[in-house]
Amino acid sequence: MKNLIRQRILLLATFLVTIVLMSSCQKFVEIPAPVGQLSSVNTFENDATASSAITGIYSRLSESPIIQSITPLNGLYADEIINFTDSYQSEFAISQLSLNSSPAINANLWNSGYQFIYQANAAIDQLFLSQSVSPELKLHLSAEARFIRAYIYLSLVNLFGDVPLITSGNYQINMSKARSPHQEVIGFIVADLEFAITHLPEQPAVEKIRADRYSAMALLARIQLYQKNYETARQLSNTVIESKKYSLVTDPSRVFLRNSSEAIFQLYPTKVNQNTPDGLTFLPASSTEVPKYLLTVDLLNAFEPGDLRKTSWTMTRSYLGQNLTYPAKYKVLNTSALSEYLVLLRLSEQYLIRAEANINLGNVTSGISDINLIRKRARQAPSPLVKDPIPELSLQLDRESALLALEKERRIELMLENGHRWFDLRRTSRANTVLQQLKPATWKTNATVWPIPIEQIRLNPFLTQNAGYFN
Amino acid sequence: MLATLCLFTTLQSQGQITVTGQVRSQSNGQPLAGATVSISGTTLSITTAENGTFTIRQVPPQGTLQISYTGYLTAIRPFSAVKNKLHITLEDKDNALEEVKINAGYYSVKDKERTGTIVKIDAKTIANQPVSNPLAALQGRVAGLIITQRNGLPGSDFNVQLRGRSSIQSGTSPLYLIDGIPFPSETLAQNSAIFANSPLNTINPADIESIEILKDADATAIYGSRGANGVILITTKKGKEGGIAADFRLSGGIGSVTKTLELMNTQEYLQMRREAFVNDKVSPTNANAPDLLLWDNNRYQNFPELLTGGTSKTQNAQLRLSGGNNSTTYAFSANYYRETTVFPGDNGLARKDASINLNHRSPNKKFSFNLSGSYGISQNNLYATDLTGSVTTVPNAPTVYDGDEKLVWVDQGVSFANPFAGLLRTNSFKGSRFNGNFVMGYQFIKGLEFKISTGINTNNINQTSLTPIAAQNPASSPTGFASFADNLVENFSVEPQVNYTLKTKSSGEISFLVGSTFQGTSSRGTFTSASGYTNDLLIGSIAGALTKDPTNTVSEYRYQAFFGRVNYNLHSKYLINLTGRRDGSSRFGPGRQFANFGAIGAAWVFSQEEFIKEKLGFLSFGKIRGSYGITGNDQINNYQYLDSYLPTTAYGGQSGLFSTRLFNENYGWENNIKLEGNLELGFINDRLRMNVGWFRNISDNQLVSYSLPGQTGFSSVLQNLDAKIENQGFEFEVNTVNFRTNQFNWSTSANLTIARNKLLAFPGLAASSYATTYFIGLPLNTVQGYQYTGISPQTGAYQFQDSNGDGLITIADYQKLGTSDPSFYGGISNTFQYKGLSLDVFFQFCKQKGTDPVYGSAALVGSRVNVLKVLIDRWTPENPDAQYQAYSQASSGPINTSRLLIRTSSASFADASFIRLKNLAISYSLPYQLISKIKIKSAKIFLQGQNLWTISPYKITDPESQSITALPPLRMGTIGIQLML
Repeated sequence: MKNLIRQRILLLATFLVTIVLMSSCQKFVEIPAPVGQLSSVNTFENDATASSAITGIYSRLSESPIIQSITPLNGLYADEIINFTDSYQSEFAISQLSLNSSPAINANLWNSGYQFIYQANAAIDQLFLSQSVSPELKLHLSAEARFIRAYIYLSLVNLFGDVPLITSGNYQINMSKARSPHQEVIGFIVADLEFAITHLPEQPAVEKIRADRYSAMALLARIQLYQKNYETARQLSNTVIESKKYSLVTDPSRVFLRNSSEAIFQLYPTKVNQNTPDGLTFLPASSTEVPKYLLTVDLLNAFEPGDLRKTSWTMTRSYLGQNLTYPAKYKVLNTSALSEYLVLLRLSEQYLIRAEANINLGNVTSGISDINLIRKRARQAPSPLVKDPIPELSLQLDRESALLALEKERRIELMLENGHRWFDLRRTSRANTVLQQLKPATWKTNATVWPIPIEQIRLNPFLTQNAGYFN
Repeated sequence: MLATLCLFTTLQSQGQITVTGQVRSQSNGQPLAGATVSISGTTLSITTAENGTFTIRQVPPQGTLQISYTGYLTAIRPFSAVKNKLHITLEDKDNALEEVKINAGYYSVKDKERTGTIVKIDAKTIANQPVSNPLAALQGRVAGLIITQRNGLPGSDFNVQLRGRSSIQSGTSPLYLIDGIPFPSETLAQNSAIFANSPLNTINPADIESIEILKDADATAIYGSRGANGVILITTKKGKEGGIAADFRLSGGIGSVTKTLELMNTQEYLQMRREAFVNDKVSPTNANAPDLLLWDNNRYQNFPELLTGGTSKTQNAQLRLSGGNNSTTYAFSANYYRETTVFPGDNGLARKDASINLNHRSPNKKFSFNLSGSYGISQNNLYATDLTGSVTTVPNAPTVYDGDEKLVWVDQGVSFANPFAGLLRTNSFKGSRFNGNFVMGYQFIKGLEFKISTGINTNNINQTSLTPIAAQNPASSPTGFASFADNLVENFSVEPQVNYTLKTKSSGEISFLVGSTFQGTSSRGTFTSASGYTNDLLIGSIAGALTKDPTNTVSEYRYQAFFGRVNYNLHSKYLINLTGRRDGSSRFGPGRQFANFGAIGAAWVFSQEEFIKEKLGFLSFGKIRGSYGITGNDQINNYQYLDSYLPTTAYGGQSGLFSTRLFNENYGWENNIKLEGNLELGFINDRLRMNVGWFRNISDNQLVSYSLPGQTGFSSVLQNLDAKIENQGFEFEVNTVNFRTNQFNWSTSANLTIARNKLLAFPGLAASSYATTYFIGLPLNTVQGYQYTGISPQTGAYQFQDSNGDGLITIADYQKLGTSDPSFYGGISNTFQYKGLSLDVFFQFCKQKGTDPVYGSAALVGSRVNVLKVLIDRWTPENPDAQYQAYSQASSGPINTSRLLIRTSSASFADASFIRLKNLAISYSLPYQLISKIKIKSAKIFLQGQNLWTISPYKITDPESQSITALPPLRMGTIGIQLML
């Protein structure tokens, strides 16, 4: 009997020891790496996944809020469109942004923009650290990341003025950075693009949906023009034009097609059932639906008689006796068959950059010839009604008139394309003159930059607000 | 000798009487068959017959009867020659403090000897309420526990919070265990705008024996890292000894919304619209005012009534069999429940489940096991959105259906969003749940027992959300789209444990418990969104879609612990309880996985002291107890310590990867330090019992997704914060037996909680992203907003105080308006019993502030949406003292600006206190004489009501759900019958 008890106690003791031993064993709580996710180290371990990390940035950029919203918001804020049914953006239409618009600016522009800056920064950091990605690919991929970073920073600076200059993936440093002067940011992105021009290939791998050397050059030409570095801008745009890799499409209605010969850089559509965000934004959802945005009367009147672009790039629908004209550079609303890609850079803009640089450099004649090239493409066949459709501009124009003609040409040619019109009004300091006239009741001279979203100022006490806005 | 015998016989024959009677259960009035009836001081004893009756012949003319029955308190009744027909009711053991055993999870404890704070809700309280979710049955009944129903849909989710919000961001829901196995309480739905898929809704309330709520450190520390938010133990019903008993219950009921929104009629609406245009100096055009100019101005459709005015129907059928002998008991049950919505149509929830329970103890009582399993399937067919959100459709909008019962989309050339299209956008949840649990015990020697408890549960949710072509405006030549989600969560748990109890006569009883937990959860899910269906008949099939986008998720969670308890009990007078746990969780990075938790609890039952017994005789029970300890919280997502690149949509045929989160590998457990003091008193043989408790919980090392400015590329990163949050409060519980006679019983129980939440410390708050959300010394749920100062006599717009005097109304003018935490809450329940008739009345009350449904609502009053009727009292030059501002339809201008501001202002922070007749239950047990003829043991008819009546200053909608876009909880009435064979 005693023996039995002893045996049982022994059994129990063994059991207890087992429990204690098992408990102190950490193995049980170690779980395998999650399925379908890669750590940053794994991602930049080999050429294939490192390339995917850059491809992923393009993919997400193509469906990003910043790419989608810049065109309609800038269009409203400047003088291109009015919102016909979408009332929540009405503050943009009157160019008076209050607290109400802050969430939209925050989500669509600020957060979305900085998301891509982080992705580019993280990729550049990781590529630098990686031991196993081939050196050549490293340079190529970081050049692509720098191109994207520069593109986004340019948009942010154009919208907000001074912005925080984030250059690495370390959130502990980045979270309390204050705004840097916009000149510093511009300097940074110029360096990025110069790096990109050096290290990007001459030919893109597939279609024109990844940045190549000429995309970087074309973007840098734009920046140098904005910076009034006319000589550099002229040289860069000239190189792009003279490369003969691109040509103006004869029929304006075919400019925005997939692989258009005029396109320098396009985004491949990644959203289900969609070609371009612009198509989805501007085209009415059905044959009976009213368009969300209409061209302003001012813009409609700016088209000269016989301008093919009016018929090619806008559409008109009759609704309850009213004629409603809406933007239609992109004509595909929603289908999974891909025929249109969103164009971020195209040759026509390079001609206009070269023109503007030349006029400012005193070569008014060469400038006007470039503008005439663009006008020629838009010219309708003469008809009894319009005998001389958009005539050639005189080469004898003085500098002032030439610049005004150029502004007008840019307005039409680049209308509702990635926010050009608003950025042009800003950089040429014409915003006050033009918008004061169009929106006398609401336009304020300090409104040439948009407010920093209040949400961000609350999250980062080091951020300051632009003058004249809520705090 | 002969004489003596003779004398005795004489005496006996002289006084011999016959005593007859019937024994019934007090709780349900059922006759008790097999109860032992004995005459005190003799060996005379008899068991009651099938119908509970007994007859004892040849007994002395005076004496006492002792009546006993398993599971009931033994009763003693005098009898005499005059009083020889007795109706005896036995009180359930559960109802008496003395014998009540409280389940504390790993161990159980006598109620009088517990050192921790544990509240028990019994099966009867649950059965009295016509609810489908066990959580609904707890509302208002437990001090310190706030349960809010999110909406009135079948299968609605509940928000549960015990003793306040203790975490800035991690989960605040308690740990749920069903028969010891953790049960996931978070919804498994992957994509839903409709909050009606609480997993707990798959548990049949009728299968529950009791629910114990563990509150303080002493009770919860043994659950270590998962105990910070409290623990809710659900114990299922086991078989009872005795012959086979069948219990059949059938009920049916109806429900309707507690309050239908009262919106403007067509006349009032059109008047509002016209006035808005006049105010804005804008002329209505066909484009901006088709409702005024094109649509029939005399048409009126009452959308709140059409969409939410219906009646929900419930049906419930239950069958339960149980029985066994003193070594083996068994129970089986099956249940069917159906509940429809108040929306048009008969969509709704249908649930079927079955359970089995087998319990065995070897004849020498050394070996025992318990096997229980339950399986349930449910289908909840609802809509993609809560249709309540569409009641603000313009009242003179086109008639929703045309002559051919087809949805109307266009009237006079103007499109309109038909709210009835929502009925075609279905969202259905198909769920199945299995719970299996096996516990085996072996007693080595007296006092030393080994036990192993193993269990698995699986939860599967299949969600299909369909938007057919018919639900969309045909003008846009739409195609159908759908989403299909499938989620499976599997849990396993193995818990070996050893108990040792040493009893000595002089130095008390000491017991030890050590055990270990191995637990794992693996989840996997697939989600497919499919679009481009060209025919509505194809829409249920994934293959039929033109494009499909499938994704899947897989995750693992492992959890391991070592726990122990030492309890010392000296003469049931002095008690000390020590518990501890070492926990490891895979949710933390390497080196951060393990942490220790523990608590000490002590109690002094002073009523056991001789001097108290002498001096304070009226005091039948008195106990002071207290506890202190530390628990943790690991309610965060898996793998957060890793950074992660996820695949993107292919770009030009190439695959992409995108970084999806920032990571921090150094975060660790969130701690919650709990302190508790408690006084329990019983007077007049415990006919009056009261309990006053004070608690203070301080949680620190807050684990938060720390909000980051967008410039970092992300909105947050997970990290520990040194913030300290205090929850402090008093809890009162009173139970009285006001009346107790053989015929009539009346008892009352009430609870009251007064608690407050406070942020004690937050280093670096001013420079953090929380600077404008949280404030030292104030509750976490502090509500801020503008100070409303009235309506401007010039513009007719709401005005606010410009606190900083900068001439602008900005968030710098925010003032602290109060907290959305209730200042006190509780419930009062009264139970009356007269013979077979029983009445339960339960009131829930809550003193709180919430969002005003008028000021806090989103609409621009004057735009093309219908609004609440009360808004007729708007500002006009003729009505300068109006409650609400002037009408306007312009999306810019002072009226619209102040509309946005008033939503976060003192005006929209209104009193939402309420007293609600939460539950009313009447039951009648048919007299035995009536039912004995049809050979059934008992028959009961019952009538139950939920949310019957509410008194509240919060008039427009329900003060609990506080939303005009979500369906409020329903008022339910049920009638049913219960038969026992």
